[in-house]
Amino acid sequence: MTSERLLRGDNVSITQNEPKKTGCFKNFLTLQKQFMREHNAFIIIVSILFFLYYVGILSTGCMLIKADVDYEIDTFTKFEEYLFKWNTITILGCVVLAAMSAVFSFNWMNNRQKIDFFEALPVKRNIRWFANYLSGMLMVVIPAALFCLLGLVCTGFFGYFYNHLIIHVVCNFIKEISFFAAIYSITVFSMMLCGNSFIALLLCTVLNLVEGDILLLSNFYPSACFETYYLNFYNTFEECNFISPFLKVFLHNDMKNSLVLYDIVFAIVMTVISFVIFHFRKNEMAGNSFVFNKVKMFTFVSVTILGTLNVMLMFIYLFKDSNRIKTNVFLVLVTVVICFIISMIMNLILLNGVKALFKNFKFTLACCVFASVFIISFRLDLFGYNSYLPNPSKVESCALFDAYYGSDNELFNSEYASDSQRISKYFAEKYMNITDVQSFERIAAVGQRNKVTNEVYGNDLVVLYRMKNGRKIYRVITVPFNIDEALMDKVTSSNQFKEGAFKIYHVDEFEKEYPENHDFSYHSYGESIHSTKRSAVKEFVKAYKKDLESYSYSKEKNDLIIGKVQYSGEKDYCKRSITLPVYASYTNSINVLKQNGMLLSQKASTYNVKAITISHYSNVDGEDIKDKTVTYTDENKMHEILSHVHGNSSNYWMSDEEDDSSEDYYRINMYYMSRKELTDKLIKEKNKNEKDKNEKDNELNSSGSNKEDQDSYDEYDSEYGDEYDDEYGYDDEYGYDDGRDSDEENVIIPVQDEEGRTISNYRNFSFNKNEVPAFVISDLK
Amino acid sequence: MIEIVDLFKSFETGDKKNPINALNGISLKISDGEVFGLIGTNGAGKSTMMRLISGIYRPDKGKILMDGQPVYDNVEAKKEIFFGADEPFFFSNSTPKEMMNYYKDLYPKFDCERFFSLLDRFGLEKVRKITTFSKGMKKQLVCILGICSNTKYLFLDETFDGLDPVMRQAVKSLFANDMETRGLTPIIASHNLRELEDICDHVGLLHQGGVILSQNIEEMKLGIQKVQCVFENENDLSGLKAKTTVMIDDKRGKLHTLTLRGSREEIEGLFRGLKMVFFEMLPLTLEEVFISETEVVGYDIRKIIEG
Repeated sequence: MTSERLLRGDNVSITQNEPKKTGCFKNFLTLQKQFMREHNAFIIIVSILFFLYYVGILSTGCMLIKADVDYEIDTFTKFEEYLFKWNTITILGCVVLAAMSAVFSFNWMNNRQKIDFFEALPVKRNIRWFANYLSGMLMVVIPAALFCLLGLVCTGFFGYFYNHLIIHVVCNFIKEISFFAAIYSITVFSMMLCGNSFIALLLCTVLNLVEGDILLLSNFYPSACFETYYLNFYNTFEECNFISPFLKVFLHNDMKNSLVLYDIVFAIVMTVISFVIFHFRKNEMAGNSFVFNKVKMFTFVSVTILGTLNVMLMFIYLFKDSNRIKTNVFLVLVTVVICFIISMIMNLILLNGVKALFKNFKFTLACCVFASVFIISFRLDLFGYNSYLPNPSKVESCALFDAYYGSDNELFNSEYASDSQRISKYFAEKYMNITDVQSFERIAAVGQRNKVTNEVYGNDLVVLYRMKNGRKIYRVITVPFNIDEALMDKVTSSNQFKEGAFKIYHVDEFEKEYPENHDFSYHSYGESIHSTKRSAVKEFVKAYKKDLESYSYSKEKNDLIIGKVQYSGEKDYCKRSITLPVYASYTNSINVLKQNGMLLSQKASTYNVKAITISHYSNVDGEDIKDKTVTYTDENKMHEILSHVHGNSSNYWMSDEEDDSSEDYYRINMYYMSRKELTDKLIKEKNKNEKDKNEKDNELNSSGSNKEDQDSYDEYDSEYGDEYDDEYGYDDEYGYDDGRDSDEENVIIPVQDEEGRTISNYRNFSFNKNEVPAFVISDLK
Repeated sequence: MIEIVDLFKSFETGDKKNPINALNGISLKISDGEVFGLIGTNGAGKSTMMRLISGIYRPDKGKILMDGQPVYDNVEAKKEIFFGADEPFFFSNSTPKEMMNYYKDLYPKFDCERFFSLLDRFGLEKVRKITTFSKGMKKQLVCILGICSNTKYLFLDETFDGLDPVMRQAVKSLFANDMETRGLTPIIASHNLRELEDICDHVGLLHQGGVILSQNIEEMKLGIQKVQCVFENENDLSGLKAKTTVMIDDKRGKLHTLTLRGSREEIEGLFRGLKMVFFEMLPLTLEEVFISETEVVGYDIRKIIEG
């Protein structure tokens, strides 16, 4: 072929065509068509995934149900709900698809070759942007919609086409797509800021997670450095109103309907911002890490500081208890080293070269200074966090609740909860509005000081200040046991305190929340008695409230718990209860219990006690030293001892720890009979005192209540013995099966509670004040 | 006509104080119906200028007017532009036919018949994947696509560099043909000055972001002369230097090769009064013009070699 031939032929072939019209819409379609064609492999993969997800799951469900005639529609919908439930895989699946499609849509902007091609074409930049934006979304949305529809058609084919199912699948589809759109838009936003797709994906990850990280740091730094900081991390994450759609869904592992709207609004806002950024974006910046230098430096500084603080958190926890100058200097040095290392990594990523490792020195130095000052200000409490008390004129109301209540999601005690008396955060926050702020702050000041110095034993509480501007301030304090009682009385005797502290005021709420199988019972010294009478509950609530009218710190502190009332209810097989301690001074409550035949003995009984050991402890140089231990098996002595001890519940304001804090104290350990021993003893007693026993039984039956006495063990054992033994590890031949050798058949077993569960007997009983029997004192000398 | 007025373009480097100034206030005019050659030193800003005129980059300052209207993000203006980049892009796994389909939807005057005809003549298969094409074949395809788009302006950034001499000649013929029949204005950026010399009517010479000269190629050659001579008296050279601009003086023994600014008649007139052992006017190539002009502004080959 020669140039002459080419030229000759060409001369003939030139034709002047009539120009065709190329409108915006046509250009738009042309771009979309080409985009789809270019990414057909991705579309096929997405289609397969959605086919498996929708058609596969729904059809499999139908086939399984068809195969088993026992399945019903309800089972099917439950099955379907289970499979389509939001879980980590669904969330991550949406995130990956959204990120990939956004990168595919705008990848061309980071490639100079493609920019030369696309930007030279006669297409409006806006049109091209929207065409790309929509194409990226549609290549996921269209297969998802098609296969969702096909899945529903398949269920119809199997005969399971129900409204409930359609609504559930369609709702799920909308949720997925809205979440996809939100993540897609944030990835596009990252693509607009970056000139490199890999950096854009890193930025997108940072943007999605940064809020969570900041929240983590803002909780753990004060937690590690401030004694009075109230760390409520779980709730903070649960309640935090994240901007990031990913964190919103991921931390809750659930997609609420309200989030659909949020995701859509978020996607629209991010799309508008991305579009605006696109207009300022310079094509020549393609290939650079960031297209805007200021954004690059902001990211450099932010990530370097956050990264340093994250790494330093580990060191802060390691040196939590040491606040010497040397330690702080060491921590500053470590901060500087880590900051430099992270800045080098950032330079490597952002400037893409080993030579650039030491660039941005000034910014790195600024990061070092900031991180060091941040850490030192926390370590040395430069801003007086631990001693902070808000200005009383700016406080609307206050509340206090127990620092160790357990899960704050549990409004009421779980079935096995032992911390029954504690003041729950939920009720305190909702109902406790103490307005005597000055008295409250005096208590808080003492408590905060004590929390930091840890000088005196006390109650760990959380104080809450509700500020007039709507802010809530929390502090953990330790109210010392030797606090001014008059001051405490001032706060605790108010109705404002009681309404938040005692759940008895919210029985209605409890009954509404747990409406099934209500049970009212009284427990004392290992025995319990139940009542099914509704009137008994009402009477008791009224009486208990009346007793609480005279409640105060000093009164409660010097009172004794004689038993506890438990009011339980159920919902969906979940049992919860309100537990109310009954003090000796609660005459109204005691009378109601008595009237309803529920009042049990107010003293511990020796009938199932095999031995009691009492140890004497001395406090020498702050250490508890066990001097001597004496074991009592003589029934009379045991009876004498038990008549001077108080029960298995401590007063709220005066735990046994206060006794322990004294220089000398006694520790009482009770050793109960094994089940076999107790049964033998009871049979023996039964034979000996049959007549007396019958009288006693008659007396109990006539009271109209169903007292669960330990005497019934015999009957119970013969009827349910095997089942009971299996469940709790009893062995008829070897006694309690606690893993010991079989020749230790008669080992002393620990005490069990009403449900037969083993509970610790340590500190289960304490001597009443100044009531230690003389023979005990002499034996332990 | 393309009119460039006081055009500035700089690139960020991360150092605010030291951006790369790719173009420093360039002003140029590209007339319709002539082949405009854009030449320049490495990094002079040729490709940047091509991208700016094609509407790929937005100018920092200054104007680019194509028949009186701005180019950047202007669809109507861009319908008259086809830009063939130095590294052309084609869709993945696409064929020439698929590329044609894409272009034909965007360029209203795209000539499909001619496209197939030219593909055939250039020996390119219309349904073969472009990824299997050689570098030269890809450049041929770009030229064919550009020609068939029937745009008024055709920008080719170093497109000729990958073509073999036969194909180069063929493409040149196509240009010549289209210039004659429909007034095509090719704007070609290249380092291959010998090739440009054959085809260009007008040349713009860029150096360090500025235009050293923009002239008709013949006029350019007429304004610079190359003389090989031996002076009887060496002192005559200094007298000559006082009368005219001696751009280059390359001396080998007594033989001087001088590049002088002025018309042939003016230079001959200057030598006429001097006693010469040997005197000859030599033809000047574009490459020599380039070297001479850039040496004047400090782009001196000797400096580069000797340091």
